[in-house]
Amino acid sequence: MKKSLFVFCALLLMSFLVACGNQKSPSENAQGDSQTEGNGGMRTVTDDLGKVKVPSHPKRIVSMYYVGHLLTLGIKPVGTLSSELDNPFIKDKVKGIEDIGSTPSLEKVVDLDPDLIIASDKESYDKLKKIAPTVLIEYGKHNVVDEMKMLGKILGKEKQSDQWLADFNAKGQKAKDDLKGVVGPNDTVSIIEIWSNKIYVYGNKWGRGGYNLYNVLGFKPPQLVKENVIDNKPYMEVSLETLPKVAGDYIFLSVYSADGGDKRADEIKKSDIWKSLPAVKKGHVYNINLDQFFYFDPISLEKQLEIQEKLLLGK
Amino acid sequence: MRKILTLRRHPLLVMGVLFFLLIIAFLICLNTGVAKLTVTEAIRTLAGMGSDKDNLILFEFRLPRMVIALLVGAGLAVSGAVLQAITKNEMADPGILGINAGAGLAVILFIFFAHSSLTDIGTLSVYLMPVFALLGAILAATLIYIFAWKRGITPVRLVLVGIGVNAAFNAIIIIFQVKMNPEDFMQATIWLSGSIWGADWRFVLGILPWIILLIPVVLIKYRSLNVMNMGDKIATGLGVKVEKERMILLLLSVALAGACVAVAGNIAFLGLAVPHLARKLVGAEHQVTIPTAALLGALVLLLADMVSKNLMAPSEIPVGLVVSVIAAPYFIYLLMRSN
Repeated sequence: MKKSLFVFCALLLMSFLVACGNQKSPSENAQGDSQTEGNGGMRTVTDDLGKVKVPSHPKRIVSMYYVGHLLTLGIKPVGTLSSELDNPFIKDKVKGIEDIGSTPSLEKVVDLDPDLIIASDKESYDKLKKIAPTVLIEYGKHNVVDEMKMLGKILGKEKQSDQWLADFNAKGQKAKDDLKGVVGPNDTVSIIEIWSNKIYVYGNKWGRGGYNLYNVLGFKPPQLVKENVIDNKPYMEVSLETLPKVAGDYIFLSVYSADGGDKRADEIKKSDIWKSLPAVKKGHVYNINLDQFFYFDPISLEKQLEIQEKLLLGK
Repeated sequence: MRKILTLRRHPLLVMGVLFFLLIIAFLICLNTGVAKLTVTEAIRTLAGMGSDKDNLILFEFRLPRMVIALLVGAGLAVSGAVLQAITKNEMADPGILGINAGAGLAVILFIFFAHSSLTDIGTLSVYLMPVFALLGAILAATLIYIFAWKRGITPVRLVLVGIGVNAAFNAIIIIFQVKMNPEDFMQATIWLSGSIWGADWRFVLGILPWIILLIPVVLIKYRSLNVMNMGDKIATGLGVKVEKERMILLLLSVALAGACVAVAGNIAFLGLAVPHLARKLVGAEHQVTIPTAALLGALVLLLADMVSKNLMAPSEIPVGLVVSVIAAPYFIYLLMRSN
């Protein structure tokens, strides 16, 4: 009881301060305010399921994924999934964010006492929404820019998300200029990943740096990838026989060694199919580290862009 | 040994002790978890005076899981006890005979075609899944029966054919798993190794009717179980219609296993070890073996789920793995001793 009174007072004080802040710079939060409904500091936003009410100024956010996104927006969540905390590019920024397990431990989330939860799949959403206001942004459904726009609106941080987009576009343009002439205008680029018993080709809506290659640098995907994966599915499974159809003139190759994919990769590299790929013949195969290229948040994408640029420039 | 012998003359005492232990374990489970809840808070919450947060933890997250563990543990144990009696084989269990695999395959197929994703399971599906699991389990049992039939069923052939059917169903499950995308594949793997993550009251309602209806029916049939345990010839001599009774009991066992697999995945070894232990404690008189096995099964799975939830918290280990780690050594001990 005492605690909730304290939280209420704190919220009251906060909303007062924010209101004052807004008076000084009315343009700053104009868009966010237009959606404010005024009842208890809640506002209506849009997630994957439609309209949903969330606190206008959430203080304790538990997010299954999107930690890199949130940090970019200037928000530090209080809890996230274990895998997010393993992201090498944000390792130094996640101190104090609590681990909620490999699948969200509901009790842990309750314990963190969140005022907003960002879920990434429907099953978890259905359980987490019992704890606090929850929004659903499905993992792998949107590309990173759309995710940032959604999160910006949901969290009232449109300014920060616009700022990031401008910065990212500038960096992308610079990388594009640096790489001018390296990859021919008609050359295709693809991302291949080898598991112990599967081969995947990735698009621009998942990890492995696809958004950078196709959206930022504007490289062309092979026809089959373009038709089936780009802006559509996050990835597609292919057989060794269809590999030539999805292999571009440039290949970014990752290997999932945890299940023995490295052995399979060695086998595949010895096969005639692999050896006859144009990218292999010309030496245009670039190995990427799955630990680094697993994530696709704003922070990771920028770092990945640097790595991709270096690889293509042969540095 | 002498102690166990004297215990056998007091099955009610054994059951009383088990029931008492079950209550203790239940109370401990109520109070353990990532979210801290003291004993008094738990009791206050149970009495309906808890805070919203405590209510949420206890009634939405902890209790449904515990109830599922109790029901599934009892169901699998009774299913195993029946199978062991009608096959006269201490190694028989719904997991080994391919009945769990049949149920598992049906659920995987159902999810694969009805949802194309394991992540979005609707309310209707929660009630339909036990039915599908049952159909799969019955299919497996029918196949075992057909292949093992040679002018009647001999228990040994039943077990051997069952192992073959198990392998076949598992192979088909793998085929479908390979066709799934990586996330569904991971989820299917966790589910297949036995997990009650995210169990809620809908799942409890989905399995409850099966358990509370079928276990009493098995109990009513205790005479058939007792004489069948002595061997077909004696049973026939005592006037039991062996084939018919065996079929009915097999169906009961299959239905129990199917319902359990539908909500908790394939939890192996529980149906094998628990009935065995129950017989050791109270003997093979099934009017006492069955209730003892049910209590013991519920206790084991409740404790195993507590371990699975807390050992690596906040991450979870599938409860099926925990049960295997506890029960597999017992299985090996049985094998070594039977030589």
